[in-house]
Amino acid sequence: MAIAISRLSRRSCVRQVLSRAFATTPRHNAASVFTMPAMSPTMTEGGITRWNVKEGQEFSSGDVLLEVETDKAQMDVEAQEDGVMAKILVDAGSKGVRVGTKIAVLAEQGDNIATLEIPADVPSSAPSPSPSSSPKTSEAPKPAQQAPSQQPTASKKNPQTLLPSVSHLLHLHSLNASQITGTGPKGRLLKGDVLAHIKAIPASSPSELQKRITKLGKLDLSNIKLRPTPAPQAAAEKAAPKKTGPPPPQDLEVTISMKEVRKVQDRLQQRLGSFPPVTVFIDKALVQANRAVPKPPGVDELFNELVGAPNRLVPANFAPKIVPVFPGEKKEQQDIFDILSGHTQTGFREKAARGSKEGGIMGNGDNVFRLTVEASDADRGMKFLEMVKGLLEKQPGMLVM
Amino acid sequence: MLKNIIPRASSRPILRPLTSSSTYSPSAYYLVPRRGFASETQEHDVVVIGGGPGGYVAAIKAAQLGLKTACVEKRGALGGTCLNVGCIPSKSLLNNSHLYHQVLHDTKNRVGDVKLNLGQMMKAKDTSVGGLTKGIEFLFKKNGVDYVKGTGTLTGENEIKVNPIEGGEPQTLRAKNIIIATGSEATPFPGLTIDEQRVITSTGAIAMQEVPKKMVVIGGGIIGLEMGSVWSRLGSEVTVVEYLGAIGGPGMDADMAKLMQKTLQKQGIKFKLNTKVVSGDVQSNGVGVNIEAAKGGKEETLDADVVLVAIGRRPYTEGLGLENLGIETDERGRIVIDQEYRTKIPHIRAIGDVTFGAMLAHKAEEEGIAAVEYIKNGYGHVNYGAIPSVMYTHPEAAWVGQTEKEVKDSGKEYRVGTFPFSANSRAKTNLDSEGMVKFIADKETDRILGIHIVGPNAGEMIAEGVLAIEYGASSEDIGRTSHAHPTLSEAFKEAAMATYSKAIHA
Ligand SMILES: Cc1cc2nc3c(=O)[nH]c(=O)nc-3n(C[C@H](O)[C@H](O)[C@H](O)COP(=O)(O)OP(=O)(O)OC[C@H]3O[C@@H](n4cnc5c(N)ncnc54)[C@H](O)[C@@H]3O)c2cc1C
Repeated sequence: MAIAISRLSRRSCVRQVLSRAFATTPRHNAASVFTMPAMSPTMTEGGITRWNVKEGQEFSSGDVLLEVETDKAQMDVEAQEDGVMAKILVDAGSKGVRVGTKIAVLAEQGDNIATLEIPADVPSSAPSPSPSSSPKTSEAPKPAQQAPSQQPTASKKNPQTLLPSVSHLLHLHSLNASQITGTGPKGRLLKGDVLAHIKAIPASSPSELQKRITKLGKLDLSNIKLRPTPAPQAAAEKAAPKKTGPPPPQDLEVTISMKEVRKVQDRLQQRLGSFPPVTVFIDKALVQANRAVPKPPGVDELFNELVGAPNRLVPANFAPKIVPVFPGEKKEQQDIFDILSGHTQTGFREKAARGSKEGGIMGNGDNVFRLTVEASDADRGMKFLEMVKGLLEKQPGMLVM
Repeated sequence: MLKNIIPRASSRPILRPLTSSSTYSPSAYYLVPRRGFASETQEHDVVVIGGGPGGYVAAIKAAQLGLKTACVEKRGALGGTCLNVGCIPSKSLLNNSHLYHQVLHDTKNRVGDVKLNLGQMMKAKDTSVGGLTKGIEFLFKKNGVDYVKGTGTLTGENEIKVNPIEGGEPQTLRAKNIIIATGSEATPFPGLTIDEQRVITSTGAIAMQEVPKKMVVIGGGIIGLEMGSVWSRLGSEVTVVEYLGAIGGPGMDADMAKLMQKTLQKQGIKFKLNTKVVSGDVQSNGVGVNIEAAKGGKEETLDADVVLVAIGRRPYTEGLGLENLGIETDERGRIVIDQEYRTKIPHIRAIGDVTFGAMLAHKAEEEGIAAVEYIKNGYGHVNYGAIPSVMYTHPEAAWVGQTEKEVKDSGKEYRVGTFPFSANSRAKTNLDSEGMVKFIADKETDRILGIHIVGPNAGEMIAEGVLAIEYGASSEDIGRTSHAHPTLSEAFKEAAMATYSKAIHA
């Protein structure tokens, strides 16, 4: 007898096993085979710790027939209907009994056990897994015996209760569930799967739909727009008396190479005979990057957002100072001590200012792009500079297309 | 490479990450000095900050899984927004005001006269709330969760400083894992100062001492409509001002929103849709609420004794000390997490209203359990495609899955089946037959994509729909499942039948 259900709770699982066993067996003097039940969806094998009924003993619904253990738990298997234990096939103490292995023969109360028709393929003596044998040596499960009725059964590799629509369609089309793969949650066989199998709908429809539904089942964490976070502060600093006044502005800088821009310029020169100045590339990059880091929302925008109305984003207006780095000029190193002490290196600053006054840009080399921003804009400023760097160093060609 | 220079005027420099924030590594920062004045340091496996539905459920589950757990809550009572000032008190008032209203109007000639005793009604609410919050305290004891009453602040990656509510020395908790579940607060309306007397949030709306003659509700979402219903039933003249063209918020199916609005209008609530509140003047004798058409137009003033601001809720992280650890929030203040609820410090997780997703108590609870399971076993699961929403007006509205518009926008062909409660025998006998059930199923596979109900007991009925969606059922699966007669649930079955075939009683 196949155990068709493994995804149900222990109790209903057993109920299903037993009631089926009885329902599909001739009522008089015929036995039904009781197989090792799956007590959880993942259980593949288990041990029989104890039989609570002896051969020949009657039991009533609700009585514990046997105790089963897995590596996770020990569970009682209860009878859901009255009956008699006709024969125990796998003794107590056996370990590693595969789910579906025949472990006992049950009969109805009042049946004469001596004259009982034992189902044909049940061995007269108990099969292998003996108490002493190692768990892994238990016999492979024999193919489950087909139920005598036309009842469609779930595939063995995917045992499940069939949804009513599925069971109905299987009957209508004389199909067996084992022929069809389920695309539903956890491999469940759905109406759509049967419809696809009988080619009533395109074969790919059920799995495509499942994919979409799986996506909807996830928390949508795409397109997160971060709020600029204030810099992490050590607890000790927080404890220090708070200074009043807004946080000081911050200087950000990035060094950007114009080598790629020069390559594009050269290529344009060759093909079109025109040589767009480097400032064109820089201006376009600044506009694009400013658009990518729009101004934080004001009250109006916040309100729109609250009520779900669309917001128009206002581009930022960062305008970095550009300072050429002359080849051979050693860029001063910032000393960690200076950083910690808050001491700035005036020499570096002065030179930078001189550079920008001269208005020079290193056409084929490095330039420092520098921004001074409010502390609250620091994150956006950094993002802006990174973007400008990316645009000019990776694909400057895109800027003038 | 990108580089930061120090802030110019700062004497205490703050180091910023050298690379972009996504590659942030906490170890690159200052070591956090251990606080000297902390009274006592205890090591817990899990410390949960916030004792709302997300936090208390996480704490109980963690303790049940054998983890040494503490829960920090500053309110003085467990249960969070939901039990103290949200779901539970609002449902108490909704139920009692419904009884009153029903006797006053519907059953007057069958039952008799009735008089409102608002004080007793509020007392019944307080009793329910008190009982339930104490119940959670009991569950903490039973499961061995340490309940720490105070405000929790993150002071280190494994350290929480708790300022006790009763005063006294702060206490420091050490934790291997931290779950942030600090919830949400009402979003204030720009330009209208909340005083919880004349300009109130839902918290004021569940505690009014008298029935206001006129009430304006800003925001036609679930909370606004529930609270508006309560006071309208008790005799207030309620006007709901909604910026969008439909009530119920973004999750409600358009057909249902229309149906709901018609029904509530019949009950006496006035609606001003596509309307924007521009400003408000609070006077001693009332509030003038200035409104205009959302697209612009001439202004109009609504007079009100009380204005309820119900334009939404925002994450609450005040005093939590996220900035101490550089934990990110998005532009709406939600704590940024991954699919396993981890912030960028992996053993600090965030769940519930303070992070992404619908602001619902049961969603917070599911996340609480999943977060703890991730900590304990490395795997947890919440199916966000099968989380029901319920609005507890009368009739109730409830839904799960996608709206018709969402399905339409996805480009999938679909089928709709509906069944009105006016054709359901139980609803008719109960003289309570407003509303309908609506199914949306994939056209090819018949798999259910969304279920929307307006009707008596919709909130209970939706459970069957959630189960159906969880199991991938088709409308036929529901239609072939027996539903008791005479019950409201037959309407559910008939709507399913109408989706793949035809209803019997319509
Ligand atoms: C009027 C109203 C009606 C509602 N009705 C429903 C409903 O019917 N159904 C539904 O599903 N949802 C409803 N909600 C929403 C529901 O209340 C929330 O979704 C739910 O409470 C979220 O749970 P949470 O645990 O994330 O946060 P909360 O419930 O907000 O709990 C957070 C807790 O953390 C505490 N806290 C915050 N910061 C700290 C700190 N630093 N230290 C210590 N403690 C801290 C707070 O005091 C609070 O108690 C309603 C909300 C309102 C306002």
